[in-house]
Amino acid sequence: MNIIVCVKQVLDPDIPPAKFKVDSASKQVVPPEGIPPVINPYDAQAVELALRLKEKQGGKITVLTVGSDGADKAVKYAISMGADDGFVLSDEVFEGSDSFSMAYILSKAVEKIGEYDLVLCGRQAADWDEGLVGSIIAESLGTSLVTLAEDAEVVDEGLKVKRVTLDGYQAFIVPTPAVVTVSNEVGQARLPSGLGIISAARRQIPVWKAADTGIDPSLVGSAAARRKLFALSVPARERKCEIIEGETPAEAATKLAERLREAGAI
Amino acid sequence: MAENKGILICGEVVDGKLAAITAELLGAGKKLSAELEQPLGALLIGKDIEEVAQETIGLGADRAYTIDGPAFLDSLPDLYVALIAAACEKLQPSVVILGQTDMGRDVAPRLAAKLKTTAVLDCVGLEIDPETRALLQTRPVYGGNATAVWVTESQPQIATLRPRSVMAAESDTSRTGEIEPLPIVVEDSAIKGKLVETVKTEVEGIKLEDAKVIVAGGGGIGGPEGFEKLRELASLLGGTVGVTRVPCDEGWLPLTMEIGQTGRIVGPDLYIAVGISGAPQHMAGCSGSKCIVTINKDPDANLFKESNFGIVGDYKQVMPAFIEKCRELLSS
Amino acid sequence: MEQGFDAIVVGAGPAGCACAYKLAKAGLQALVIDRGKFAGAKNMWGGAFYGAELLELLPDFLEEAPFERYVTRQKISFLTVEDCLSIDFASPKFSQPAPHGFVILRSKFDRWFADKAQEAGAIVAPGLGADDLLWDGHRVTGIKAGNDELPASAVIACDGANSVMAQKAGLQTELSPEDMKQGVKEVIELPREVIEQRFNLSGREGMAWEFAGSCTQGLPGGGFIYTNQDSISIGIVAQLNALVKRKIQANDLLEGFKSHPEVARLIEGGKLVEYSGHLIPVSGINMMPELYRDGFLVAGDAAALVLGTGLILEGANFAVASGIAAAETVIKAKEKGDFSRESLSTYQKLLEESYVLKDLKTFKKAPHFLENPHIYNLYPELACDLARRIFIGDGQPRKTTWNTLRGSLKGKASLLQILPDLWWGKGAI
Ligand SMILES: Cc1cc2nc3c(=O)[nH]c(=O)nc-3n(C[C@H](O)[C@H](O)[C@H](O)COP(=O)(O)OP(=O)(O)OC[C@H]3O[C@@H](n4cnc5c(N)ncnc54)[C@H](O)[C@@H]3O)c2cc1C
Ligand SMILES: Cc1cc2nc3c(=O)[nH]c(=O)nc-3n(C[C@H](O)[C@H](O)[C@H](O)COP(=O)(O)OP(=O)(O)OC[C@H]3O[C@@H](n4cnc5c(N)ncnc54)[C@H](O)[C@@H]3O)c2cc1C
Ligand SMILES: Nc1ncnc2c1ncn2[C@@H]1O[C@H](COP(=O)(O)O)[C@@H](O)[C@H]1O
Repeated sequence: MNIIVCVKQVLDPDIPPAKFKVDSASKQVVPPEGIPPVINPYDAQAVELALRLKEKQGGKITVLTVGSDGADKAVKYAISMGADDGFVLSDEVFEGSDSFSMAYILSKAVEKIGEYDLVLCGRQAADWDEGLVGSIIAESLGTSLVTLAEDAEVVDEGLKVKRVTLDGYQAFIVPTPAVVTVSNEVGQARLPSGLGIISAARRQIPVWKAADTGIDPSLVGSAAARRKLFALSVPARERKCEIIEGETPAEAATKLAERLREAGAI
Repeated sequence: MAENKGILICGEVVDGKLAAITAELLGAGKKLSAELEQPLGALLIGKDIEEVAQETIGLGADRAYTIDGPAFLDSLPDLYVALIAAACEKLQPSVVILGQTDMGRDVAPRLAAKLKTTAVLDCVGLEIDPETRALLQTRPVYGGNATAVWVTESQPQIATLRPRSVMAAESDTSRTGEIEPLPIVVEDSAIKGKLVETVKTEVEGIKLEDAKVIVAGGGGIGGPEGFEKLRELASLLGGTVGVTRVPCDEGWLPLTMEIGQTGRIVGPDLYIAVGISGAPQHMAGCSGSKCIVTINKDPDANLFKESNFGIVGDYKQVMPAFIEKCRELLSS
Repeated sequence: MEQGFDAIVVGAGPAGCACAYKLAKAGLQALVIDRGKFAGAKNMWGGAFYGAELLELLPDFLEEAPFERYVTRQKISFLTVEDCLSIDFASPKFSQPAPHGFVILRSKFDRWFADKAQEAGAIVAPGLGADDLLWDGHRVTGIKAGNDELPASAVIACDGANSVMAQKAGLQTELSPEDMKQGVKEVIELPREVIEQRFNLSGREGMAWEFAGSCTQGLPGGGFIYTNQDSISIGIVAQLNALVKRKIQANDLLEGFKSHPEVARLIEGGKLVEYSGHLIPVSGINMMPELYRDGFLVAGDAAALVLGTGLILEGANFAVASGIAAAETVIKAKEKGDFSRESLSTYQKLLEESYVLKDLKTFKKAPHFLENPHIYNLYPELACDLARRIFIGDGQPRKTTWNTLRGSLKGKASLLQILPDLWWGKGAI
């Protein structure tokens, strides 16, 4: 089974809220210094699902990422987890692309790779949390699609995928090739092994430019974007917190109950 | 570009009844319809839905469109995508709003791709820019660390609305409007695959979304046993228990109880957070609570900044006395 | 693994990065691993790097390195609960072209340094912790990380204080609280203009400020403040055994320090963005393990190469210097094809020739002397008392006293050098 996983490098979603900043004037997130970006956690989980499928079925896992300087780190991370191969798609003309252009860029790379049974994406990229790219790739490749997968297995007719719903799941059987977007319910992604980290560190990840995959530059970049950022801000969620103190924890607890009663909360 | 006009909400029918999200979509739609001075349409897919379609008119739709089809969870999303896309082709709306629900989050991106436009998911605010008449779509980004407002430059402007982010429309049974069945035939080739199973895990007690009081526990609880105290308090206060991602990842409790960006979005009157640090991804699911109380042993935990009341301490020492006092106060 | 590395460097702190960089530059196959998510992820220090090693090692340092500011002002203050007596030394000579110190934030700097090692050809693998050593008889032949065995001709332990690698190699036993100081530090964000105004700085000028006295409640140790570009690093270092004995949390000392009137003004309105704690081996040469054995070397904090003379805490420069010396030793060993203990003994010689062991020997007695509680409670009291008398007494500072203090601050200031002067100063008045 040949699996292609799309991975994106994102600002570490675990940064403390105090370190998160935006420049509202330029409508940009100011990356905190000293905290390097990481592979989108959902994409690491997509790699995890790919590895589980490969362990059962055999085959090859190829990783793709669209990004600029340092984007190869996301690919290398996937390789250190156990993926076989990877490519970085990088070109100035990609700058400012929206989800549609991203999906177009990734589809072209998928087509260049050629033989594939499954394309895996994360349910959303933990930076802009858009949750679009995977579905659009399926549309542009014309394959079947299941979103928000918590599990997938190969069956005779193709792929059986469980899709997370609010109160449970639905199971579908779809023909391959298919695109599946992966949700956190697949479970935690494995950590890279030592040898994996070293073999990834030794790899040179090839870079494909727009021309290498036959991308039409007029369909990518900010000029082609179908949506534009109107404003960006940090929400004011602060509340005035009344800290209840006491000689002992029990005393504080008692006071808290009384205060909540006074405030009409209980 | 064709002159797109009107606002179309894609309502949902569950077990033959109008789902709660539909009234919220109509609430948002009504406001936009007034601001844009364009009509509001409601699209419903289901079997024998004349009556519920009439309800949408009472809730503010100028016109209801019905499509004969199965419930979303009993069908393939492909079918819904094809049906709604065909309806949009026919109606040429300028704004399409779906719920950020099982249906909307799956259908909206594909619908956008089919209609050669884009979609903005999980919006918590929708309004019309008075100057440009464009739809301003507000949504949390970066796990709730920031808020973005997007403008779609193609037509139609498709958005999904997060449940409980706007007031539901109120019903006015005297309103009138037409119900128009849309005869749409979907070609077999549009449907890929089959549905083999739909599983619904029943939650016991009160649903998190409906709870007035939630006692939520996080990584600080330390294990499944610790949740006993939380359950005791929740049942005393007539509420229910929720969790952060950590207890789910640890396997203490199921992911269906997770509150947050990727879990449930709740808005109780009282949210008691025990052993929770207050990561933005978690706060995204509970910051709408009226009163937030934090019990955490780390005085620097972020959650204190977003709480109304707090105790710095070990929950194991705080909870027994707190439960005791609550019981006493409630019985008096 | 098909074939082993020439060297595996455990830990990508200043010692490890310098070592790997040097090895890679010489064309050796070097792997540097760090258990942090990235190099520098969990690392901290007060913030000043003194010395020329980095400039020599990295030709692009001044242009490229993400240091915060030059150290152009050095200040030492003695605190009582209310008062503060300060000595403030400023010199424009301290900045370009020959800066004598830099204020550095580790998380940024370590990553840059690791990238430099990578550019030079080393393989940098963050997210990987060494758990054990591989052995062939009494020769170290590599490391164990998780389930993987990674062979190498030499292993260089740069894994910081309380080095597990040195312990596994049988060179070091677990360290005792007497040999350790506990450091805690906060990074407090403030607008650049505010920092420059409060500390009287401009451009890339920066201040390194040490405190003694009430900030450690009389425990051996001190407080520090370093100015970054857009934040202030503020922290406390205190003797671990004393903390344990007196049941004091380093954290509480820091809170107390922050609320001292003189200090509170400096951080007022700031936003806490980072908190961290770390141990520092401070017994210097008294606790230094054997530095090498067959196929194995120890450098930096792992080898206790820290100058902990009271207020002044220098370790990063020793780490870099020892990392370089270890690399040079391994490069020679590779030429000879001999990684035996005998062959690696060059390391000790290189360190003895450099200031690393010379300085540590000079200060050999310092640790014990510095446990003298007078230094941390009596002297600051006396100093402030003295100042009170001078300043409040007749309103005019006396020239002789002032000059004495100035004189003692020539070059690199050390509490050790200042205190006797102060002592003497009192008598002279
Ligand atoms: C892409 C992404 C999406 C995510 N989505 C969600 C989501 O939807 N929902 C969600 O919840 N999380 C989500 N997370 C995870 C989130 O970022 C945090 O990691 C998580 O919410 C932390 O959970 P916690 O506060 O329970 O645990 P921790 O961060 O481990 O905090 C535990 C707290 O308990 C306190 N504590 C410990 N012991 C005690 C004691 N005895 N008494 C009192 N207090 C104690 C500690 O001081 C600490 O503050 C997501 C993360 C990512 C990357
Ligand atoms: C509060 C404080 C203030 C200080 N102020 C100053 C100052 O102003 N100036 C100064 O010069 N020095 C200062 N120091 C001392 C200085 O920080 C150290 O001497 C210096 O960092 C030592 O460098 P190192 O590379 O030997 O070790 P470290 O910087 O401790 O690096 C060790 C690395 O090894 C990694 N590691 C550990 N174990 C393993 C393992 N098993 N496998 C893989 N990786 C591992 C760690 O993650 C870490 O990255 C201060 C220290 C503290 C705590
Ligand atoms: N720049 C990118 N490179 C590779 N994959 C991407 C990129 N952007 C998005 N994706 C994939 O699409 C998923 C959803 O992203 P988004 O629609 O941006 O939230 C991600 O989880 C990735 O799998």
